Amino acid sequence: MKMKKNYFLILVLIIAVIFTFSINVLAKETIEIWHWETPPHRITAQEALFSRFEKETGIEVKQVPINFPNYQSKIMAGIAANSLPDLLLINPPQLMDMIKHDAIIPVDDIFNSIHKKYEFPEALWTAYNYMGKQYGLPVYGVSWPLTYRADLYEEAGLEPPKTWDDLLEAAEKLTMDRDGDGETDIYGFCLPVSTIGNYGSQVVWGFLRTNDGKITDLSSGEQRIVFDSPETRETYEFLSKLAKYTVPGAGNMDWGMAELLIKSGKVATVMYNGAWLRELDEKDPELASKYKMTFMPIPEGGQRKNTGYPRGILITKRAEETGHLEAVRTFLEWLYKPENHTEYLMMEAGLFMPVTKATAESDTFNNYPIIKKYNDLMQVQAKTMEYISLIGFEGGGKSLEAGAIEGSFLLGAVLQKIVNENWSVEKAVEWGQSEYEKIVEY
Amino acid sequence: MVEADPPFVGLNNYIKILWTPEFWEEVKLTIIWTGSNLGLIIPIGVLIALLLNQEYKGKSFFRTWTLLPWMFPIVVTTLMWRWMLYPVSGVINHILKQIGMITAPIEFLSDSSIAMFTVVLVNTWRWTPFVAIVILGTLQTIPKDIYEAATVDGAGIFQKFFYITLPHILPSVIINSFILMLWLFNMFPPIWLLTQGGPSRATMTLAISIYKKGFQIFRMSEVATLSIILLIILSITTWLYFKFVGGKWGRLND
Repeated sequence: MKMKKNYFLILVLIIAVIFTFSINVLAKETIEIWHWETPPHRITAQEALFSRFEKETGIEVKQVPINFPNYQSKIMAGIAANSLPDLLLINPPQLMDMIKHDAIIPVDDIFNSIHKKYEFPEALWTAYNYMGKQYGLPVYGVSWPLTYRADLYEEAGLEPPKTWDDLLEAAEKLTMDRDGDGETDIYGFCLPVSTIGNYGSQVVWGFLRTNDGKITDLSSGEQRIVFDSPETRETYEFLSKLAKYTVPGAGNMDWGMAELLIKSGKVATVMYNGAWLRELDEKDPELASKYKMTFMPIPEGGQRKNTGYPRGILITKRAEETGHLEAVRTFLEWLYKPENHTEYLMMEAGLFMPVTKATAESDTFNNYPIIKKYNDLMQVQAKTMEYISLIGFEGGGKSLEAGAIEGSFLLGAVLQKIVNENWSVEKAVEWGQSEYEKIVEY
Repeated sequence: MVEADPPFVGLNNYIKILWTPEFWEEVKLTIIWTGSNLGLIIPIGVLIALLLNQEYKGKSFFRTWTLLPWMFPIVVTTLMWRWMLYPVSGVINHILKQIGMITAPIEFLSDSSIAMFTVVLVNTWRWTPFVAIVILGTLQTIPKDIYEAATVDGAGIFQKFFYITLPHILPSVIINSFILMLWLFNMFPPIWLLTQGGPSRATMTLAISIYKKGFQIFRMSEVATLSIILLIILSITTWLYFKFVGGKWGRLND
């Protein structure tokens, strides 16, 4: 009887060992990525791409889409609870928060391997380099060139604006009542005088940089706020003139509202990316074809600069702790192959720009229908990526407070003070300077 | 939350915040927001409940229609309002123009002088059904024979309301107002989705300010201090309520 009992126990033990062993062998490795690409078609496109990766490698990529307004708070909570995923999609200013909180690891070896094969342009990869270490890989680019209704410009005998004066003249001429019913049908320019989301601040930033205005200066090795400068004041003087020709509702304008205006053909000129292109091409290809893109107009003696982001992927410390680094490496090496990378970019065709030379020059990317059809717009967006300037990264170094400086939306708030509250430019800029100082001193 | 080894600063954060005009402006806006919402939601809710308590044709349609704002997620309804209120492409300005009430579009959410009023109206639309349904529940517990006896005694519609209906629903109205006041004081989604505290801080209540300071410029210690201040304000209000209102009118101390 005792013998039987022992046999039974041994049998149970063997089964348990075999079972555990098979579970370990059969369990697939899963890596997790957080991103804010929440529109359903973008989630579906990524799902398809990640499924293909899983079929080819056996590694599952679990995506966690988080709404952009909640993204930073989730990351902060993830840092506090040590529950970050393996990979994070990020904008460069927020990279500095990750470094500050020691939440990510340098990726020099992975970067070098991918860079060698597919080549990232310097202007893009350097956004993720801090103190000589590479902390992330650019994964797609978004830029906001000047978008304009070419048909209206042509009708009014205007050339696409190259200078601030050209833009002001166009904004004035193109704010018009086309059907003679006494109401304005087309607005010359869409200037968001708002702090709802970052649209207002990003538009001001584009103009400010073309006039060499800055917020931070790290050239001496020490961070200084240099917002209150003649360049900044000139920029706001110009924007306050431009505000006369903007659409009603500018005080509450966000990216979505501006996109709606583009899709309804109500604005002649707007600083915007290609997010509207895919949908407008489906619904009203004629109107879509009327829009063209060009570089941001510059003031006299100004410089070519542009608002934009090389969005990037970071590897968290958690990936290292959970032993997922090799799987992450396999995934990234796979993702940057031009055919896979193109599929990734096409989750929002017309908006997401390539960040490697190999993808930009690949047939897969260039022969994609919408890219081919609107090649001129794609060329401008790709070209403006070379001139992008990032908040907090402009003054000879990278501010560790770049995330907070950008997230404060103070550039838009200063414009609101001037346009909505009738503050003088001097007073508003002075106020902006002191607010930025408070942010970096905190 | 995000600092590994924060220095001890005593009451410095409290002193700093209480000396900032910005903070008192936010307190003022929070009180305006809470007060105006309560001032609209409660009377309109009671009125709707009274209407729903009557017998008439189409009552079930009216009841469903009234509950509609409460059936959809707040994000959906608020964003729908935001689109409808757009000055250029929004349907509300379009209708107002068509019927000749306006010539230039009204900037409901981008004009700082009317933004708070607009946000309050949208929120009133959302919350009124909640109050209406709770009050309706109380109305249906009033025995019908009391009204019949009052009719026999020759009481009119207003006498019936003030001497029968109101005393019966008052405790429910008071407790509803109290719960709603606590929610409104901390309320975040409608203001965030419509204006994010703008334009020019015209709708910057304490709840919005806390979120912006915490998750846009990462001032966690300031946010923690503000949250404690908010808790103290609400605790004092609750104590005052139970002391002076709840017991006397709301029968909460029975």
